[in-house]
Amino acid sequence: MSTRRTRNRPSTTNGGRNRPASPKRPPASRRRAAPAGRRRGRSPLQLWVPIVLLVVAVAAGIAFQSARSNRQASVVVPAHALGPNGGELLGRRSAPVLVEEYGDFQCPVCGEWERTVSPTVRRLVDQGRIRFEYHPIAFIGPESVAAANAAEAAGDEGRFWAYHDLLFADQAPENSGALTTDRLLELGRQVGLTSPQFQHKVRDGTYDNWIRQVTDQSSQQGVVQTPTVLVNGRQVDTALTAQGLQAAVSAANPSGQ
Amino acid sequence: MENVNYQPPRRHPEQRGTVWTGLAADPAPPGAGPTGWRLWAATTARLLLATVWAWAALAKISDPDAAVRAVRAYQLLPEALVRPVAWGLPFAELVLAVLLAVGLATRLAAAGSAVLLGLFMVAIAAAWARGLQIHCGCFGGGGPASGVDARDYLSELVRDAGLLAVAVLLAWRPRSRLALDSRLSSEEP
Repeated sequence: MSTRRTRNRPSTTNGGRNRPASPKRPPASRRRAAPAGRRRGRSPLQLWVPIVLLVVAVAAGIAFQSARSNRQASVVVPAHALGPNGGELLGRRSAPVLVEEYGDFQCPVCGEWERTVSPTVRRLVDQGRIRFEYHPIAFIGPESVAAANAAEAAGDEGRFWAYHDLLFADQAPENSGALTTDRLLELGRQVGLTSPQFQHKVRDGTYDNWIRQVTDQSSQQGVVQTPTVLVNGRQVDTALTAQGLQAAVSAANPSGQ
Repeated sequence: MENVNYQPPRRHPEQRGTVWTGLAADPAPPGAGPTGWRLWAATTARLLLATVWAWAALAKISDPDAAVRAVRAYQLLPEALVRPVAWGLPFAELVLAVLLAVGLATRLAAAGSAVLLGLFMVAIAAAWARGLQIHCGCFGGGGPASGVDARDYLSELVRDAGLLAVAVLLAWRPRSRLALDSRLSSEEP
């Protein structure tokens, strides 16, 4: 390469080193304004090829990832996801306050919320004061998708909440490999799900793409952590304790019931 | 009587005691001269940055959906730009990793690294300043997170500042050992 370049005259290059040979001589990097014969040589491999490579790689990457991610066409929406915002719904439609939770079945804090706050949620639901809508999102890993898919499959046979409770009660460390297909089927048996349909949906990941879609939509709505709890559409950070949730529900419906 | 047309001494600066004829063209033989450690330091810097970029890129490429959520969680870009950035950026990182690993266009790649790291630091600082609770998504994942506190943001910023310093030094003095650049040109890239 360099043999074609007349600029690389060895006698003027100062050895290509960065240090000036003497204080009077500017360092090599500042000698750009020197006469033409002294300008540094640069191969196209060192400027235009990398720039073109960068542009091509970025464009190809966007196309590649777009193709990998574009699964919208094959989304199967579970028939029982009937909440006002497309989630699983618990409670009477006439209840004045809507409490929503975005949760990941692998998220430890969601498991903690389930133990500490969920009893209050169930009580408020039973009293008719709230409706509770659960959005199964999956951001921790593939097992989150598999678990949420299995829960939706359970929902097809009216066992969503039983399966939901069991998944949270039976949490393993995140992405530990515990939630295998066999484990998800076993959890199904524990809540009375043995039908071929259930097994087929768990194995096939029938609702996987719907879970991914819900996850993407939640991120567009500003959900950046789980559990995220909304009361009448507004994120309430204090709803991560039973007292906080109770207070938020009371504030949303001062007249009570 | 002063010589206006200053001629540099015809002596290799790193070869003390011997007259440099200028004909022993670059690159200087390995290990020659007192600045040899500098060239190896630059090689180390190249490989460090290359490793970080490759790791960051592959982690983000492996889960395009997570990359989208991570970029979106910063709430800095309009929705139309979220996907192109989330999907294109890791490939830019990958190209930087390859260039730095082989030592091609080192100055350009180091400068690009510095610009990118500077942008990342601005984004992380902006998220912190606005009280967002997000993981940076620097090495995949990101987006939804719980329990993110000031220490997380600070450690991300310190890490990026360290890498930024390395990238700036490398852009300033890009010559290194085991680099394609030194085969392509007898002067610095």
